[in-house]
Amino acid sequence: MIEFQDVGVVYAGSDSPALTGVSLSVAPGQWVALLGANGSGKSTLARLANALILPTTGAVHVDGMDTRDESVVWDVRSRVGLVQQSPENQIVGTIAEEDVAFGPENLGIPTAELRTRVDAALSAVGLDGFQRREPHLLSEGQKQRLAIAGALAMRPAYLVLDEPTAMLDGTGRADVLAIVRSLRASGVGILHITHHLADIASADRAAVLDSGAIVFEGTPADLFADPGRVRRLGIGLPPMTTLVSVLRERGHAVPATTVEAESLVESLWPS
Amino acid sequence: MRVPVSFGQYVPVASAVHTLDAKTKMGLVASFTAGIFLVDGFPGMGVMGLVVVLAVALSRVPPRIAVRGVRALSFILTFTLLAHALRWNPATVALVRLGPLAIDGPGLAEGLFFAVRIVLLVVGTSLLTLTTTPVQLTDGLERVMRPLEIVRFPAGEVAMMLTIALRFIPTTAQEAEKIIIAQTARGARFDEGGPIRRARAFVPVLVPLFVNLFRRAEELALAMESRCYRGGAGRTRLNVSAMTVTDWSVLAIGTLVLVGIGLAL
Repeated sequence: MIEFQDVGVVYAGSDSPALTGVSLSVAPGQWVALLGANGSGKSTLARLANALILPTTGAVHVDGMDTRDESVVWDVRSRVGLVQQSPENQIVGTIAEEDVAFGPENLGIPTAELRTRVDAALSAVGLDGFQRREPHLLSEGQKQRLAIAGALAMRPAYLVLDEPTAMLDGTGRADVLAIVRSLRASGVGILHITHHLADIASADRAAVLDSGAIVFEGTPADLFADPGRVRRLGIGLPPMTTLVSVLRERGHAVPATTVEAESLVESLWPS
Repeated sequence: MRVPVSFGQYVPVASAVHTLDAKTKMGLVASFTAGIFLVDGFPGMGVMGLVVVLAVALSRVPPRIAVRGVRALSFILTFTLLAHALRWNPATVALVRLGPLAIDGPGLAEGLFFAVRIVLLVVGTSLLTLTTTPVQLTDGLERVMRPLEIVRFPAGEVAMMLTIALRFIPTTAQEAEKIIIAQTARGARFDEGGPIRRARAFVPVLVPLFVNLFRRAEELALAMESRCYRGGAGRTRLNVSAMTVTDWSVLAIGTLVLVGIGLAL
């Protein structure tokens, strides 16, 4: 269980707290979705979960271990995998299998078992046969799946995904969400941070973060039932939708249903 | 758009030299360097020349590419040749004389000897990078540097730095390409004016490129910490390139031959 207990975070040199009084828990096999607008403190929360950031007040426990206890830091990090928004910036290896092996190599796993773990992790994210592929030759969606495989190879009990679909197209997003579903089924606890309302439909619980505080906690269905609240919190609108609505306000003839960059260009600048 | 990035100078052909372990090749390069400096006469240098020709042939690297490094050295070669060949008022019989300056036979021979040594050295050692991928080189370097850990040299960390640098070269090239396109779309011109103006046109490319690199570095550091990286100590490796019996025999025989030539001739 990852437990945030009344957590507050104030960054050095900042007057206003990044998080205040946040309490939340993620159990094994549970998919918790955390929504919030940019700057609401989502990434801070993600980094609290694996001791990259320590709480200023309150406490974070991972399977009973206090993240402030320096002697358990690496235990915490091997138990809580973190996947960040930009896949490009978290790939270390020059080829896919080397990158997936990076985490378990740091844990000192013997070479023979490394091979098993790497192949299993690549297979779990649908990248069989990509072992020797160079990262820059992968699509954004494949890179993000590679980053997830890198976390999985450490055999974490929990996975924290910090906006894993923000930079992906429709197919890439669907692939990542399918992986999340199968991980939950295999008993991994998931904290999924996002600002796409559509991503959270199959989550077990949903929480909404606004200006550093949790303002909603319940099932995704409860949240969907209150569109007024969703709109007030500034979540749920993908960047393309926001851009389209701004363009329409300014009088450009763009269809309100545009979601793809190509079709937006096409309607602004017909060839 | 995909930026064509040629990684170092690796020539991807299949050959016996390519399949040798990087550490074997590093060892051979060291022996070759020792041998070529021990040689003190044209017969020895001739044999070394044959060794280089044989090695290039075995590596199946096109000779044109194998000697590419020499072209950059034309100034040094000319300088070496002249520094030895030119004499001031020599007592010997001069071949060419220009006032007090003269070129005589022994001077010319000496200059040629040193010039040939440089050419052979460059062609011979460049075979290492021509037949070994940067990844294999980095791994090999880590193993070769490992004994230095006794004197606290951070071999694992240096190898990690090289790996990350290699990993981000294509990414950075792709990003530079993207920024150039974005700036071109805003009216920037990169193909006009003299060299200074052209160089200055790249400032608006380099600034965002560097800002992005620093942001990348920070996120990468967090990602590495999340995956429990705490320096080289205690790390295991997925791909351990081990030297085979062939590697050891090639290294042993090669070293004997190369150093032997140097000592004998």
